[in-house]
Amino acid sequence: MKLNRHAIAALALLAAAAALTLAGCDNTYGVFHEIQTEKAQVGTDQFKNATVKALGEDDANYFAVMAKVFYRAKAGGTWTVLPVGTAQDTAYYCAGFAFDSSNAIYVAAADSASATALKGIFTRSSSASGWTRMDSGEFAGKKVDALYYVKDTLFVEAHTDAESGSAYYLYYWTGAAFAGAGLSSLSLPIQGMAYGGSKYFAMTNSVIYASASNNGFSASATSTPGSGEVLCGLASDHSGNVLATTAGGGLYTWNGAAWSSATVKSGIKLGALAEVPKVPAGASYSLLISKHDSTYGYYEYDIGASAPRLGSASDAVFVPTSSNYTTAIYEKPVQAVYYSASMKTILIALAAQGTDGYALYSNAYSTSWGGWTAE
Amino acid sequence: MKRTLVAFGALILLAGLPLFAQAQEDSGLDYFGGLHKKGSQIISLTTGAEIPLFILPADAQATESTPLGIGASFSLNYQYFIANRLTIGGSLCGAFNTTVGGRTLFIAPVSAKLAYWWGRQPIEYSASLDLGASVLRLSGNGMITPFAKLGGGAFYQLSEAWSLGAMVYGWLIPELHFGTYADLTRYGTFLEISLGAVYHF
Repeated sequence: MKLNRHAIAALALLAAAAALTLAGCDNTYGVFHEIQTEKAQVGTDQFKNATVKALGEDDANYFAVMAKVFYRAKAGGTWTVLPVGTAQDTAYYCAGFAFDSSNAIYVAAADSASATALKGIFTRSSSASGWTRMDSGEFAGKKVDALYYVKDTLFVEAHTDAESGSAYYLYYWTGAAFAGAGLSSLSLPIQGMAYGGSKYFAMTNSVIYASASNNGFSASATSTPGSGEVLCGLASDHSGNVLATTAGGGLYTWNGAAWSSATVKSGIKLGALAEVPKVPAGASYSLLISKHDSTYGYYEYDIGASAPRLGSASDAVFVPTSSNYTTAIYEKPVQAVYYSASMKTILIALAAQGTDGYALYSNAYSTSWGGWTAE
Repeated sequence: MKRTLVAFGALILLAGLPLFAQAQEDSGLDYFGGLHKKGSQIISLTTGAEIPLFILPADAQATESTPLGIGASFSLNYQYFIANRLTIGGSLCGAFNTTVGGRTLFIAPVSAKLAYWWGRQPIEYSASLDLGASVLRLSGNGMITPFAKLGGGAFYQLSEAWSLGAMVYGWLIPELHFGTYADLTRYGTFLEISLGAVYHF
C-alpha cells in the first residue's frame, strides 16, 4: 500500500498528537486531587515575600533571623522583633545568630543603616535573663558575617575588604574574650561549622578544616572529602557523624575516622540539611536536604537509601498531602531547617521573594506530622 | 452551595431559550437573513468568567470548601453550517483559576463543536455541545483529559456580519487515572459565563 502525501501528513499529525498526549500525562499526579487537598496559608506579614536565613530556640521562644531577629513564644503568639542588648535595641541589623543547648542565644548586632558597623555581640543565658555584651574591640576594622555555636564553643566569622579581595577570619570565645581560632586571611568565607568524631569542622565551599580543639584550626589541617567538590551544607547527626552536601548531589559522612560518600541525587545541587526523627522521639531519622533542580524545596533522605524522596512524594514522611509541600515549599530555596525536640516541631526557613508566599513554616507532630503551616 | 444553585438556575434558563425563541420566531424561513443557512460560516471570540462548581468525588483529606477561585476564560470558535441552523466546527479555549494555596490551574480545551442556531432579527440564539480534550496544568504537572461543554447564548445583531452577545456553558472535565492511581480520578465541573462577538460570513 502506497501512502500519498496527505495520508503521510495526517499520520505525522496523529503521531505528534499522540506523543504530545503521552508527554502531557502523568498518571501519578492528580490535578484535581491536588487542588482538593490544598489549604489556605495565612502567615505573618513580615515573612511574606521575604527570606529567613537562620532559626533557633531557647527555653520559651522560637527565633527566625531576617535583617532582624524575630521571635515568638513556643506556646503560640505573634512574631515580634527581638530587642537586643542592654539598651533593648530594635534598630539593628542581625549579622549573626546562634544558640546553644542550654537556652542561651547570641546575636551579632550591626548598625541597621550600614549593616556592617558592629554594635556588639550580645548574649543572654535564657529567655528570662538580661543581655551581656561579649566583644570588646576584637573586631575593629572587620565586619562580622556569622556566628556558629558548635559543641561547647561560640565561633565568629569576620572579614576585611581590600581591593585585592576579602580576607576571612575565624574567632572563638575563650570564656572571657574572642581570640583567633587558627584560621585567618582565608580567601573564602566559612559557610558552616559542625562537631563530630571528636573534631570541630569549618567548611568553605571548597575546603573543610578540622581541629581537635576549638582553637587549633590551621589552614593546612584540612579534611576535605572528595576531589574538586563544591561543598554546600554541613551538619551533624544523632550519632555524632558529620555530614556534608555537595553541588553535585553527593553526601559525605565523617564517622570519626574517615569520610564516606553517597549519592543523594546525581547532578542536583544540594544545600542546607538537618536530621529529623520520622516519629518523635524515635530512633529512625530522615535528613531534610535542600535541593535545587528545576525547582527548589527539599529531599527526604534516609542515610543508606539508594534514592531520596521528593518532599511531595506519596511516601513522603513529613507532609500529609503532596499539595501541602507544593504550595508551601516547592518553589522556594531552603535556607535552614531546625527540629525542636521539646516541641516535636520542625521549622523551615525559605527564600520567598517573588513567590507571593511565606518564608517561614512550621510542621508539628501530634499523632502524625501535620504538614507545613505558614508562621 | 449557593454558587452551584446559581449555576443550575442559569443552565435551566438556557435550556428554556429554544421555547422562548420559537414563540418569537414567526416563520424563520429566511434563516436569520440567510446567515443560518447551509454553507454559511461563523467565527466567534468569547471572554468571560470561569466559575468552579464542584469536583467529584469529594476528597477525604480536603479541608477547604472552595479550593478554587473564580477565574477567567476565553475561546476562539469556528462553525460551518452543514444544514440550515445546524453547524459543526471546532473550538480552542483557555481558562485560569487560582487555588487557595496560591497556585494557578490552567485549562486548555480543544474540542469539536456541534451547534444549533435560530432566531429572529435582531436576536439570534445558539445551543451547542463541545467534545474534545483538555490540557490541565498545575505547578508544572499536568494531564490531558476528556472535555465536554454544553450551553448556549443569545446575540444581538449589530450589522449584517456582526453580533454581540452573552453565553453560559457548563464544563465537564473527567480527569481519568488508571491502575494503581485510579483513586486519583476526579470529575471537575465549571460554569463559563462569557461575552462574545460573532462574525458571520
